[in-house]
Amino acid sequence: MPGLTDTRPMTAPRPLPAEPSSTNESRHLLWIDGVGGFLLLTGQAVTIGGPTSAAADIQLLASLSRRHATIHRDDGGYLLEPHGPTRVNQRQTVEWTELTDGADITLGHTVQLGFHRPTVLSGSARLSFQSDHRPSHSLDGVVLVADTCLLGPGRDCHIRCSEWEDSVILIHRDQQWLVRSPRLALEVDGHRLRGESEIGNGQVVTGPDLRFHIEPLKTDSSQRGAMG
Amino acid sequence: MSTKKFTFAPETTPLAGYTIKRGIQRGGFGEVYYAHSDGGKEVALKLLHSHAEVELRGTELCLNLKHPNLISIHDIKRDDDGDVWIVMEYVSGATLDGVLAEEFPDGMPTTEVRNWLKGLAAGVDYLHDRGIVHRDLKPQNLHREAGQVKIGDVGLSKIITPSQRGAQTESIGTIYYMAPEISRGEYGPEIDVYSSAAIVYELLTGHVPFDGETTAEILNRHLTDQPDLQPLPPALRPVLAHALAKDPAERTANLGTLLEEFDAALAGNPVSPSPPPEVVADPPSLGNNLAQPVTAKVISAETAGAVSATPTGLTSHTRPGRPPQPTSYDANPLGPLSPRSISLSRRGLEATAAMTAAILFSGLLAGGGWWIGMFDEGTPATPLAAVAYGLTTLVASWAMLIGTKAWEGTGPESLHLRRLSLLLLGGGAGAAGWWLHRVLLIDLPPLSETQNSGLVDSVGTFELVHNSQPTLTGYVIFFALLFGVRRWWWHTDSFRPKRLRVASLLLTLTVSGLLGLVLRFPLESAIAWGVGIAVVVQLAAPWVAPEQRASRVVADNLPSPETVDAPLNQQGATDE
Repeated sequence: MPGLTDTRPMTAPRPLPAEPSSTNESRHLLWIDGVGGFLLLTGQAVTIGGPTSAAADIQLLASLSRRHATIHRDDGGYLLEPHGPTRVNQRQTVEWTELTDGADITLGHTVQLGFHRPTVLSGSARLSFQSDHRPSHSLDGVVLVADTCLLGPGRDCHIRCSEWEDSVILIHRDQQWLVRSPRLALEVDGHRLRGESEIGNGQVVTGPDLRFHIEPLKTDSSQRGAMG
Repeated sequence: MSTKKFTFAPETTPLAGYTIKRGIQRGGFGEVYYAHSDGGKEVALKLLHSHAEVELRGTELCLNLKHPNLISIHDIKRDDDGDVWIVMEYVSGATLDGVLAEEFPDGMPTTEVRNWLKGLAAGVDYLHDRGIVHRDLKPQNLHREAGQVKIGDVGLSKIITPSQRGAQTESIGTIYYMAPEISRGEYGPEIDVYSSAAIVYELLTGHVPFDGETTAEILNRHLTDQPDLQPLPPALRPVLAHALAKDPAERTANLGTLLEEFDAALAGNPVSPSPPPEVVADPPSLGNNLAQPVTAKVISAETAGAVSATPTGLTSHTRPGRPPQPTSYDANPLGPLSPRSISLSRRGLEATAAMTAAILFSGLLAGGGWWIGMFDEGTPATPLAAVAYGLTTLVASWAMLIGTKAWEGTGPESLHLRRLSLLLLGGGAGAAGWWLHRVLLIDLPPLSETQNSGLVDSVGTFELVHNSQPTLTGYVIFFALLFGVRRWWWHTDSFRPKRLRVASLLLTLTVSGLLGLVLRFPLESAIAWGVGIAVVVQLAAPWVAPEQRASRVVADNLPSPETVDAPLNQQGATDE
């Protein structure tokens, strides 16, 4: 990739964190009927890279470095650490840059991502694909999950499911995925949901006009099938 | 709302080789899933519902079409249960209706509209060039992925050859984009031009050209209303008026031409369409005929309610507001003389229902007449007189209901045939009435004094009156003329203005009275039969409310009711 290697040396004001944990636990796919497929990332740091990067959490079919940028979650906020040419809100950046709701991230020349914090009630954020660069399969977005992921009809949800009657909360706690809904009657694998229930192993959640499930994404060979 | 439930669960493989990840949508045609093949290829899988056989024909024909603007079909497969799956290219981009709702609720900039129109035109013209009409163009079927417009549901198209025009169809487009001629069962490529123009209108303004509370109202507006061109950029008004023309022959020929006209209008050099539209024929409201050279297209836009805006600056006036235009379907309703196709089974069903109802109403009429003493003057004054009257009324009503139902929907050219057949049916009913009164030994009331000498006493050697009772000839001629003089289809047609019109009863009363006087037919009986038959047939004949007529016409042109019900009822359900 000529052009990407001749970047100025990056300054790293903080010690580089440990290599992001691309383990079974940190990456999941969320498939929602009628809405789309989403990558759920629970790591504190999320690396974005090109197609040959085994280490990247978000591996895009795009002309990017293996590790092009890393997004860190820190004290409820998000910081972008550029490794390759990166612009935030049209401004070239070589330093750690805070990401606020609505920020535009440009990686290399063509990859554009949007950063969203739809609600202050959750520490989670969403990345949207604004150029047509995707992982090897079509995903509709990435959620950087701090604690919860809100699915529902409102604009304050991380994933907007505009035809749902009410919202559903996905909770990531102790390496487990749990589901809860304040008002909707849900079923998990056909059993009536009372309170919270674990759904991290492909259990199918159904409710009035909704259905979704979470698929664990493994770093071994089976990753190829889902994420490339 | 439970339509969002999908048959197959995620991570299952109902079709060998493909793992379902999620449902994409459910519609009248089937279910669509997002799936990964064993090799990792992402595809859209469409599971077809019951009427698969019909749909398959269309899909097979489109299996090997290749065009960058058409969503391609990879294969058609059957699973172990015999269900049919269509394996299609998966397109990840947003659909046009989503883009419109999320980003441009009040309409898009013209450059953005042009991008969509360009891809749409390329794909649709490619289909038309291969003899295929898409027939279901709507924003929900248009995607854009990586800047490329992709037209979906191409498999639902059908090969249209001249002989198949107006033949059966298994689907109807969403009514907001449905060309008026579809209500006549015509499915030429022009319907795609109309749908595309309706889409372009919506992209420019943020709303569809014809909206309404009910399905029927929208259909009616496609048939009768001119589109409101006011919200459009002035330069584009004539372009869309041309492409939304009611008459397919006057419509923009194809989407490439629409794109050319669109571009030319925006560049300020509108292209003149070849044939001048007929609407020029009502020029009185056009004050600008002097403004030379106004193109025919601009005139058509004028009559369609637009403010004139010729690009050459020759515009002589701008008319504020809309000129009077039919704003509702009442202005040009479907009536007894509207040509339409009615299936034999519907005719049979409706005639049977009407004849059954006629029994009830004739009975009530005769009973009521007896109760108020209508038959007291006859001899003998027995209930049998009422029975004879009621039966004669019933037979006459039946004859009329059968006759008018047979000609219903044939349009104005059959008027002579209608009158002739009614004349003959009336004669038959008269003969039956005469025979009934002979068998039951009932005399009609005596002639009134004014009838001592009628204008006509006999026809040839046949007397009309004998012993102050009408003869067989008298009955036959009275009933034949009663049937032949009035326009009874206005009483019995499903599309008559009102179910029961009192004004027409008064006219019937007068006509039958005059016939009685002229033919020396007992006056009370003449009037009682004239009015009685008019009441019975109007009450008995089925009647469709004006706002439901258009959808009835559309429904009658579609052969398999179960496929029609889905889209129409979905709309209808929300009206309640």
